[in-house]
Amino acid sequence: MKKYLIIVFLLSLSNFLFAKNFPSNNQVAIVKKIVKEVQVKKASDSEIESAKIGYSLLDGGQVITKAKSLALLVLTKDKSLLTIRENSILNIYQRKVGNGINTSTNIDKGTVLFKVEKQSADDGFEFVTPSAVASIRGTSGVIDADSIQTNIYLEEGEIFVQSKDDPSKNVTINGGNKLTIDNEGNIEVQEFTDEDKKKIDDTKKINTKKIYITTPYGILEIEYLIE
Amino acid sequence: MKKIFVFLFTFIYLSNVSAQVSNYVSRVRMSDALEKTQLNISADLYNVENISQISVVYKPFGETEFKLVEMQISGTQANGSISSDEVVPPYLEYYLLIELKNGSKQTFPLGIEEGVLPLQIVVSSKSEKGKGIIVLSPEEGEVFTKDDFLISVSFVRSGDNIDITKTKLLLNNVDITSKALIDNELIVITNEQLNDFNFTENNQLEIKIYDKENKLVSSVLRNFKYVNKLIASKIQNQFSYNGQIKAEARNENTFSNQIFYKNLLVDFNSSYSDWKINLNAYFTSEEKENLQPFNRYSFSIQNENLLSIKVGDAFPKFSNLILDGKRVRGLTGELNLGFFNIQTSFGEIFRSIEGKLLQTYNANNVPLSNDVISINPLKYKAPFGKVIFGTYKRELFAIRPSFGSGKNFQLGFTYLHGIDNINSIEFGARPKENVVLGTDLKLSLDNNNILFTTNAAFSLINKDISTGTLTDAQIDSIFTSNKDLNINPSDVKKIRDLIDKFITVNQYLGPWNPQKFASLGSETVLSLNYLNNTFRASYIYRGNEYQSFGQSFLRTDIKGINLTDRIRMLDNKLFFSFGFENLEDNLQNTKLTTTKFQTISASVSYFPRMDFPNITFGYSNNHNKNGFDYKDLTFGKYAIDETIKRLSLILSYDIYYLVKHSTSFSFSNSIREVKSSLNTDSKSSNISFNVNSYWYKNLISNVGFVYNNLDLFGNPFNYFSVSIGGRYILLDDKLSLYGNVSPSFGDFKRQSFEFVANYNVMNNFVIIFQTRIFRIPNQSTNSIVGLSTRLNI
Repeated sequence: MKKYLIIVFLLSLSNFLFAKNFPSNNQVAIVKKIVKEVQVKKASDSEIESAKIGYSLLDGGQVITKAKSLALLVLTKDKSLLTIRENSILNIYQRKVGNGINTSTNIDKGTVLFKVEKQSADDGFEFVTPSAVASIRGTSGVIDADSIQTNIYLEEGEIFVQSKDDPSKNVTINGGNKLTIDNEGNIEVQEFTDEDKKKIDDTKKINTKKIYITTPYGILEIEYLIE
Repeated sequence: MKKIFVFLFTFIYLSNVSAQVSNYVSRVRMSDALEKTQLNISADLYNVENISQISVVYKPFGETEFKLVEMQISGTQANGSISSDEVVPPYLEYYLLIELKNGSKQTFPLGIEEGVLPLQIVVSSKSEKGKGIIVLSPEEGEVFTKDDFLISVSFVRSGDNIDITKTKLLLNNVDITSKALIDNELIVITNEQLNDFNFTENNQLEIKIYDKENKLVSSVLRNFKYVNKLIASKIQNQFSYNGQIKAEARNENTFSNQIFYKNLLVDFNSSYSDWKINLNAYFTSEEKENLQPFNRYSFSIQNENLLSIKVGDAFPKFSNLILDGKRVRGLTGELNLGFFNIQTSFGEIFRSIEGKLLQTYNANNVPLSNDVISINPLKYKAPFGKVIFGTYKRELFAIRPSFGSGKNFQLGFTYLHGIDNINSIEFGARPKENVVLGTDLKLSLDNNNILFTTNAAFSLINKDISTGTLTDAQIDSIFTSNKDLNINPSDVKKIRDLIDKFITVNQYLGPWNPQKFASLGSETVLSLNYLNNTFRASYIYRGNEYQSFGQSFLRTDIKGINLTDRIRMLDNKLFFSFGFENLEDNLQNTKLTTTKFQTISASVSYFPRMDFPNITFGYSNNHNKNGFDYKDLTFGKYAIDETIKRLSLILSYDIYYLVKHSTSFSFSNSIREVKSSLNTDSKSSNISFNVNSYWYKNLISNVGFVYNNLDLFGNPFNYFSVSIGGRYILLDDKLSLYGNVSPSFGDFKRQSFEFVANYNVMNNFVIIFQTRIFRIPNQSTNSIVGLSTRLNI
């Protein structure tokens, strides 16, 4: 009996030690909607190609949106939504850790509207920008990043943000607040202004209009985002 | 005695689903009974002319108290639903209560009051396996164009036992599984794969998930629109609508009594952005001035969960003790801001129905009788009249402000006021008024694994407001002249003035013993969900005078505890359930003695998900005793000492022989032993067997039998019924034919036949022909023939 217990213990331990942090070879997200010009790399070692609805991204997948373009991703693990606005570059990574799935979304630049479902105790979700790492468990808002600073407009829930270079500089903010953090770890938190609210509302607009122009060579279709 | 039963069962019909007999219900159908999922119940009716109301009476496992939900009658069908909170494994017991226009009541199955067993439905536990399936696209109600169409299902979270390759995708009932791209843990179908699919504007996708043993573990439905770009552009402006118009003409010929019915239903839904509008109207020839309304109409506007306003007929749900499911014709609405919410409903719950003057009397010849009242002497030339009492118009107002979204916390306060409008009719008796004040609290912790709810309400009822509030002179005359009372009349006036703001104050106002909590109602429930145990403990207290006009069916004069526990084992294949309930009445010492109601119940369910039948075995023992010995010469006639033992076994199994045959077998037995000088013991047994065979995609057959053995007070009554039927779909799914033959033998004899043809003239236009014939040997042959049409817009 003792022998069996030791074997079970060792098996459990090996599971804990070795099964940890394996990159997921499963689909991390699927492209649900695209407007105008969106490019994707399905995985880190894939070629860049034009995105199509239904394309799935694996660990290390990348999305690049051009001017006046947009992509809507749905995460396969929990149906969280990421709307990637124009001129953005986003990389997505996923790791299986024990029974959970950790998702990391790197925003090199651009604006992302997020609606992340509540993560279970085993799961994790974080945004990584050039200046910050933001851990969330279930919340919605907008993250806007460039190489110098990151703005987070949190509509609901709670988010823990720390400086990418100096984790000791960190803060937790709640819904209704805007956070700004720069490369040096300077953090500023303030309540939403009317301008911030408008920024969120504008980011949510994903409806497009199409104009059809009949030409001698066929119908020309022009699609544009409604501002 | 057999003759009595034959009389009772005259004009009865066998249901091919629930296999029971009834004078008014031909069959009962219900949605899948799945844990914590609303259970919809539909009853096919005949002899509707005689029915005033039908209700589903049910009780969850382990409880002795039956609860009641009103059903909505529409044509020859009555529909009702049991709320998701009440649908818990292993099974629910239920019967239908049919209230007739002549004031009498009947149950389905017949004879519940005499000891016949209620029906049982097995409630399946939610499969843990199906939990991790995520439909990424489409969302419910989503609008697609050709360019952005996407079906996608994620199996990232599904258990190891799920076989993604066995998943079936049915789009508008057409199997499109072969078009799906299955990539690791994701299923994707885009427009490229469905280029040649014949979409309609409104489409339905069904996703069936199977485990490795080929057992269906989950089925998900999604409705979505598929439109061209121009329409999509309009919809992007976010206006959409749909609706249906249904008309029915039906002739019922029963015992040479011929009645012709006409019904019209209009249902229209529209949405713009987050706003939804609904218009619903139902008109029937059954609407009569001398009855409560059968017509229904309502108009509602709703903004997601934030705001809803409904004008017309509504069935508001407040606290279970105060207002729950009662029809209110007026205005009902709610505003949910999260931190603060408000819910209100006001309008008419009974309409006025004038009474009838039968005879007039002078002062010198007036008899002493309950139905002789004072009448207008100028109008009727006599001061007294014998009348049939009418019904006052009863108006109700309820409001419930609450704090907290309800996700983890909510505290609410409810005020309800109901009053009979004394001017609404001329010949009425004892108009009433009611005030209820209540509070409720909900606390949810650890992702709902700990749930605590409690609510309490206090009621006041005035049983006759016709004389109005006591005047100063009346108070003075009572309290000044009667020194023994030692009460200052001015104090009484102050109290009267205070209470009179809420309810009429006179000698009919109660309760008279509020200090004994006679009109207090309360319920407290604690649910814990840990270590594969679902434990629930509740305490109820309802004083004998507790009454709310918004809740007519609450059992009062009862208190006690209820404990249930359900243990899940073997990866949710094996369930043990235990229940214990201990209730007692006579809370305010208004009865000679106290009756105790004690119930112990247990059940075991095994759902092996392999080649072995699903089994549910249940046992309950209910003992009611009030301490009097039936042999006692003085109090023996009041003695209650009875034991009811119930045993049930339900088996279901899918047999694959040539094709799939879904079989079910049930056995139930009840013995009621009463210690009494009279023989009032009863025994009831029921055995039923049913097979549904799926021969082809378009042919399903059904064969069933039921054997009932009832011994009531020593008088046996046995019968055996067979049911054979089937459904055949032809003409490219445009025509559906359904037929069923059901003869019954033994102490109850009858033959019945049903035929239904359903023809889709166009995609959105359906004609339905329905006929039922039932023959009672040596008595009569009766028929129902109806034609209805449905137009979807």
